[in-house]
Amino acid sequence: MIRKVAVTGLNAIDNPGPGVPVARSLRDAGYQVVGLAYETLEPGIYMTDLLSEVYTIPYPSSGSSALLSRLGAIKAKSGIECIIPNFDAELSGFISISNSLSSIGIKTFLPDQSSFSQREKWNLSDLCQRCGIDTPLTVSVNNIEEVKKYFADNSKCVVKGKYYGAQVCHNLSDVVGTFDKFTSIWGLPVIMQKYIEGEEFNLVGMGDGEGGLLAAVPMRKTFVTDKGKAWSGVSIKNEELTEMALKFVRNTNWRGGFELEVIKSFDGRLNLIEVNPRLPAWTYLSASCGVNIPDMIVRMADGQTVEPVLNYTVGKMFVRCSWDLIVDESDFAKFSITGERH
Amino acid sequence: MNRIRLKDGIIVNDDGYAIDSGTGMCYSLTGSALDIMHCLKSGQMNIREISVKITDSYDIDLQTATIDVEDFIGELSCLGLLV
Repeated sequence: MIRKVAVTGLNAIDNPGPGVPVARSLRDAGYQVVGLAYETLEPGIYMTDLLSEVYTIPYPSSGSSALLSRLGAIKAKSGIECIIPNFDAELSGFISISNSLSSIGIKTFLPDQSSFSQREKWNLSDLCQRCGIDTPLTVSVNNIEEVKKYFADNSKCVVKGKYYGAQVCHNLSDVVGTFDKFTSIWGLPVIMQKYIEGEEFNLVGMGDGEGGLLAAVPMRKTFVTDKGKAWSGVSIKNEELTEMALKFVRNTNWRGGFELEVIKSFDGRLNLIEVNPRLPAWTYLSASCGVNIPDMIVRMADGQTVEPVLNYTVGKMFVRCSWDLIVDESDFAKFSITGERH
Repeated sequence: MNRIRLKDGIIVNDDGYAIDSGTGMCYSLTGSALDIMHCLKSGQMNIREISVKITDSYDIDLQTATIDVEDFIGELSCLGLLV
């Protein structure tokens, strides 16, 4: 039985990574949790109560073999048995080495490359069409000419980076500036999506890899940051959202955690605007509602039988907070030099 | 007359609020609004019966109570809280 689990995504800024709430969920379930960090100032590194050890890992741009080699070394040192990766940009690399990881005793529960690519932002329209889900017109653009072509009707639109970032744009100059910004950070393509006004809902869920839905907890955002990220939210019961999650996992055979981002337009339609291929930063809300998805992921990775948990507490809220961790500079220096905290 | 009922998933709390578990919206309720919501929650009463109950509880005549109840129910309908 798996007892020691590693997580990535330890940044906890105004657009926080999911690593800390995933670690919190795992700790509640009794696991020992190890952190994997890319940078020395990811706040989770210094949460000594939550993470027993932390190790740096190479950036995704270093390639899969560098990642595998480093994880092998961490395995030898700490004995991690399972990894839950939490960044969009790293997932493809983790998927590509999942068999190699398994052979050295590190289990994962991730989608295959086919499922993973079906929900890419530039494939969302095709996916939604197959699933029978409403979605706003979404196109991927690779140069300014295409930007101008798709912005011809001069309507408000959302410009999104390949992996992260979304900006509501009101005119062509806005769109071009945002296109340049996201291209320089994440590369091409950049995604343009028709803007839909309405209420924002999200759903955290988990697929069993065979078309079955193991968990689905929807929430309504009650407060959002200037980046559109939920700073507070409340769990709700919404059959239509759960049905949307079921269609998604059934059509993609999704394996592992995911998040649906949905806008309910004023005509009452639910529009799927994005599928994130990992657990969201608000995932601890689902654990607090009685659905501990990180724990379910570890048990599935371990080959255990996991029954679907589709009942949960409704009306549970999360309110995010900013909290200063006080750390000795020597701890920071030690981690910066050695890449390890024990 | 037709009986009026709150849609499923509306939680009415005696402390003076209601929560729509389908949308996560919450609403504050004071005095007679809370009483009317309890009546609607039961689904067993029509506007006249609710108005009579309000008249019994508060020092107002039936005509005034009926107007207030109708107004309040109209608001609930606009908010999508009724069946």
